[in-house]
Amino acid sequence: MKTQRQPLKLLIVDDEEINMKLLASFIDDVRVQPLFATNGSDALLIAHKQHPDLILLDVVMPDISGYDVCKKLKSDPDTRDIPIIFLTGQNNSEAEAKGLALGAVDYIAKPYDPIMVRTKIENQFAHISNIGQRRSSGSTAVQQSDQRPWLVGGVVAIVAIALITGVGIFSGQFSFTGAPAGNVADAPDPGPGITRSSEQRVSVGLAAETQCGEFPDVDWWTYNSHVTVAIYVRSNFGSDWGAYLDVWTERHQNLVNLFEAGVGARILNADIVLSGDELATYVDQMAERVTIIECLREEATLAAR
Amino acid sequence: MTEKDPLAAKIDALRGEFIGRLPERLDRIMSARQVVLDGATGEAWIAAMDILHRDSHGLAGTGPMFGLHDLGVAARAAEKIAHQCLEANAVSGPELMDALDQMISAIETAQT
Repeated sequence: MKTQRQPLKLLIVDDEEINMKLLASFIDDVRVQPLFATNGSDALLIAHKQHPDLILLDVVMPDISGYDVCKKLKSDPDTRDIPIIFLTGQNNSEAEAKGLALGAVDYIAKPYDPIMVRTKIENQFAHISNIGQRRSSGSTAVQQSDQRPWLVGGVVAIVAIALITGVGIFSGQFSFTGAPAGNVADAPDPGPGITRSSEQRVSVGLAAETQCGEFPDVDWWTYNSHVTVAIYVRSNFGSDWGAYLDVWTERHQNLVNLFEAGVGARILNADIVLSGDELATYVDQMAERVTIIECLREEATLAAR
Repeated sequence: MTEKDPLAAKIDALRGEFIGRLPERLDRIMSARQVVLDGATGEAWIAAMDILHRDSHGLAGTGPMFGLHDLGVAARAAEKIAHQCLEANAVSGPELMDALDQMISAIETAQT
């Protein structure tokens, strides 16, 4: 556990040096020790060697994407508990949800607002402090915040509310056995209606029992179970399954067009290019996904009646 | 005379640094643009498009933080088209060149 004399280590990962300097200037405080990495590989090395208390992680980087760095850190018992906040220039809810589903605790969109950045960082540090205090005292009660030494001038932190973002949506509705609440990426995604209870399905607006099939197992799809997809639809489409279906139908059609044009499709999330038979397989998997979404939409509509 | 907010002073200094490095970035963008314009294919095309995508992404995210909103908008538009071209692995059309030219113009304006 950290004591108040030990500086808190903050690892800032961004391929734009100027962004790292800017972020460091926001949290200029002697009690916080900033560490820097300009690419994903270095970030992984530093995370293992230094065990930072918090990582600010850019998404788009030249070697390994921030998403992949996050996946690697969350899959390693040595680093899985380090909280990660994504830094993203992709101002859309899908990018945000993807980061959160991978296990990040929050995200910060560019352009940065200095007060918002500091508040989010302080919230995380306050959360770490509260966990440490609970562990040391053996108490389950959340301690008060007046021992937070890293609070910097004039910023009011919302104490002990680490899950102020979409992560709370996950943890609030269900939790995975044996996994930290709110950390979807830490838990295996068990597939549709298999290990999820009927209660869990109903709680996210799905029918208790389903006839819809399992989503194909595609590495770069973040949402691969009925329940996680339902949560995503509720969070980002206001439970409008039709709108979500339209998005995937369009994606499928775009893919078909590329396939028929005889060109490859670059999958940015996975940093690969699919063509030929591989692309044909992916087109089929996408079609299957669209069919399942359609099926879930119908079941959800019936369940709502 | 009032003393300047220390954070504002730091941001001003970083803004100067950002603008000071724009010529170097502009040269890189112009070179990559020329590679694409010359009809490069395969790895050369991907490398050039990667540069255009990453640099426009960086400018779109960082420019507005230093008050360069026009640069941010132009760079975001270029990033979006570059991303689409990369995703489709498709040879770029006039839309990309138009977007790049607007971004280049915004970079030049930001330097003045």
